[in-house]
Amino acid sequence: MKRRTLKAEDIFNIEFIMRIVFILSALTAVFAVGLICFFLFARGLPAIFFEIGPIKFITGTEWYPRRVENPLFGILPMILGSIYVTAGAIIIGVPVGILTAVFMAKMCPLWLYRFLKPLISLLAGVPSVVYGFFGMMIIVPWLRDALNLTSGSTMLATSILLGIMILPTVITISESSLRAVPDELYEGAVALGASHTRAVYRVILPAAKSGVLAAVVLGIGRAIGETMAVRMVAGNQALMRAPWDITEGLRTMTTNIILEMGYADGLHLEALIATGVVLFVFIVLINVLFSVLTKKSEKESKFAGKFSFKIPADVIYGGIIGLVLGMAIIPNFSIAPNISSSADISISGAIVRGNEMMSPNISGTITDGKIESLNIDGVEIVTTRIEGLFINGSFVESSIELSGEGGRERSVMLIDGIDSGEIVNGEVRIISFYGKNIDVLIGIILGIFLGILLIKLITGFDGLIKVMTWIAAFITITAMGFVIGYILVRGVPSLSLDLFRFRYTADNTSMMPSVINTAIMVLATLLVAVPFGVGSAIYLVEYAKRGNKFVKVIRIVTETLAGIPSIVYGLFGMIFFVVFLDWGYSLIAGSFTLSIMVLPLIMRTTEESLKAVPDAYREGSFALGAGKLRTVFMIVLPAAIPGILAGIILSVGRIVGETAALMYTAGIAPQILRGPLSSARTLSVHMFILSGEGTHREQAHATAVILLILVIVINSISSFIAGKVAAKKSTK
Amino acid sequence: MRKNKYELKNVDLWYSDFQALKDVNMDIMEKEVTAFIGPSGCGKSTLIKTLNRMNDLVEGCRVTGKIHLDGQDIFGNINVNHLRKRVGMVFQKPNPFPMSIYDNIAFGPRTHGITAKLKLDEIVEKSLRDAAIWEETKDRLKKSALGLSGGQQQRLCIARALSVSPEVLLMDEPTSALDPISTSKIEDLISDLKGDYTVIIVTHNMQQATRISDKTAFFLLGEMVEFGKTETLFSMPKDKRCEDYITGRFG
Repeated sequence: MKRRTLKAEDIFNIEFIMRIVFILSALTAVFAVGLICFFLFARGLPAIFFEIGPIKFITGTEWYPRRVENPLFGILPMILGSIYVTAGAIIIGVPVGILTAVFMAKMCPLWLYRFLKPLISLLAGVPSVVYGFFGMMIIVPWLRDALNLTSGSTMLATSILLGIMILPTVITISESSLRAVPDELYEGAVALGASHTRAVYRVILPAAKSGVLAAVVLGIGRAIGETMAVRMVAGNQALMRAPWDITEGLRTMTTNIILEMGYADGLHLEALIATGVVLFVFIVLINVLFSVLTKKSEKESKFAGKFSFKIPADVIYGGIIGLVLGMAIIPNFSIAPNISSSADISISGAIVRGNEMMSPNISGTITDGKIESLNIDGVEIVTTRIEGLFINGSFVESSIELSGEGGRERSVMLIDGIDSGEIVNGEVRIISFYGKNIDVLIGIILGIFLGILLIKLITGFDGLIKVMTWIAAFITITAMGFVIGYILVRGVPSLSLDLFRFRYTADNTSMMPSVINTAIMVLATLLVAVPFGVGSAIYLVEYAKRGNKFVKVIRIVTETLAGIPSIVYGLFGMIFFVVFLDWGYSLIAGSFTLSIMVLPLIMRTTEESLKAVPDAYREGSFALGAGKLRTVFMIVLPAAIPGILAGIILSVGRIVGETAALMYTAGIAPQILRGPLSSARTLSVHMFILSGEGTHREQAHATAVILLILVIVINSISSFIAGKVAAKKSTK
Repeated sequence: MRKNKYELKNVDLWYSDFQALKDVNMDIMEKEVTAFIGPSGCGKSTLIKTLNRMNDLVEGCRVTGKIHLDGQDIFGNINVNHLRKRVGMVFQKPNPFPMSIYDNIAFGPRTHGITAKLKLDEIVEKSLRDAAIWEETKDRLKKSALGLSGGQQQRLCIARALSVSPEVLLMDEPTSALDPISTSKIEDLISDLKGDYTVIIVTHNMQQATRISDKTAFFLLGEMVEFGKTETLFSMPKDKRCEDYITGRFG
């Protein structure tokens, strides 16, 4: 008798204790955001408000953080940079993405869909370093050659790359919202004699607008928060740029942080944290804007059509045509260089002869493409060979062979009166560009206008719209295929057994240690994130009363956490785990940082799968006298396992692909880690470091292949699980 | 003298392997209301959807036999979008587009190339008046159509179907999702429409068929069992199965 009561009390206690445990795990999410906010704001805001001045900080156009005298902390160039590249990505990625989504949902033949769908989910999982590497190796050189630029690392390159990177997000979400539009609407339109294309574009697409809007907002979030890929292609100059300076390099807020956080201290570090604060505020504003917009559109569809938000289809089609035309126009007319082959040149500058540098007066004439005469200090020189490239009037690289004196000379020369050109085998091509940037932009805008005009002239001509959709799908397939193809073609031949040795040496930059570190990092992160994530989801679904205020707070907090770019986590991790807790660059600093990062993902997926468990299961269990805890663990959780697993797999994908949050938390030590406090680079970090070293391009390609394989494995596991979930649902 | 609008000869229809219509032969008179009745799954909805080729959207659907509209083969050399303009359709469940009332009605005319504002205004007003919903909506034309009640939405859909001035109006159980008051409004509307349009209506409700239709066809298991004047069919059915059905002894 006595025993029985004791037992009952035990159960009561366990119930009570576990309830507290679940509440505590729910509190962790709040606590984590609280910590991030506290550290960011506590260290960033004083810098903004007391040391730099908020107006100077936000509107300052100069960034000289390490100047001894009068350092300047103006982040306007970076704010604008983020806005420019995000806008560029939206302009490029959104029309293509939406049209591709329409294509996939409503026009795609089945055989193509079977190929396209996995391709897109694969690209959604490709780590941003891999994209960055692709941009660095393909887009940047291509732009440099196509537009005759000094460097291809430009706003345009970044926008194109980000445009490609947001495609999977935009396509996936738009497609599912298009598929969610009831068939009756389509039938209604077709029954009125509308063609398939018209029904799709005038009825289904507008009906799916809130989903499409969500896709665009998520795309914006992804573009504005992207760090590593941008760092690899943007040029990173902290200089003021105008919106039309699309062929100039720039720096974004995210890259400003990653570039300098490794060595910043004092006010400099605080200014970087403050940059993080501004970024944070941006993300929160986007989230708020998004929820306002979706609320409004919900209301509107229910009650009023006053703000009928129409996707201006003409603009989308026009934009696509414009891009194509613009691209065609640019090389041909707009910035076609004026090539002339005669000019008087007066050259001033330095000639490097051996180790000696001379600054002679140089003058010469170029006629019919041949150097007629070249005088140095009044002495006529007969050149036998002169080669080089000069841009904006200065030789970037050149070598002149002077007859008589023998040797080759390297020269750094300024040539007045000529903008740019090249000398190949003594043949001179003088190219002058004036207002190059404006021309490129005018080319594109002109193209867009022409496109819209063209469409307007033949509006209602379904065939054209259909063709545009196909073109968009084609662009998507090409871009995606190009990314994957490039990695495979260049990477597979670079794979060698040496890259899988257990030791990393200067001669053999083996990736094996990084692979092992990645595995350990994944485990260490999940070890923290899964219990807390699942625990708090259990609290939210099983314990909290509906409409509880605390629940609302947790929801908002997790939404916020989910939207923060990983670089902000990285910054926080560095300040808190690495410096404040003095863990140094270490596995645990990295894994804790990533745990906070994936927590919202695990929470949300677990919550959804718990909610999907029918209440009848719980009632059945309670009716048999099982307690809450027993019901949760024996009945509800097992039923929800596939969904939870799917969330975990997604998290694994994020951990494997993460770089920005790890560079300055787990560090970059290339060996297998020796303990929780030793620094460890994961595969993505390894890839980033290799791609920065010109001598290790082959190994970088090889690493990209391995990353790609990891993504494929992760994707197949998650689609396998998703298939199981679906099968389970359908048998219900 | 009225002429035949539709002439159906030996129409068979398969959904993949399942034969949904078996050798249907009938002539449908213009400017009359023809009702299709029969138990669920008897093929009446399938047949009505064949008349404007909405069945084209169903995968694996195959039709043989001839269907002539004003003497022209609808499966022959004909633009299907043009066919659907001539043959409007109202669905079982109201399906207003998620846009304003005005845009819902204007969608059809715009589809067929009318863009002039004045002309559109005129069409919208006329269609809404013809569908007896003008008074309720004239002050809220720019508001979302989804804010209307179910019955209003269905009348809006009728107005939308009328907006392209069809010759035939197909109605697939248009009142099955509505309350009695809305139903009676729609029935009145159908009676008003029949002088100008050929109306073909599928209904589960036999009273409805007797109230509004001139001719009735009874279907069973894909076969057209009996077709004739509504009064005759309901008072003196020739076929035993039809008699069983209308007297409620069926099934």
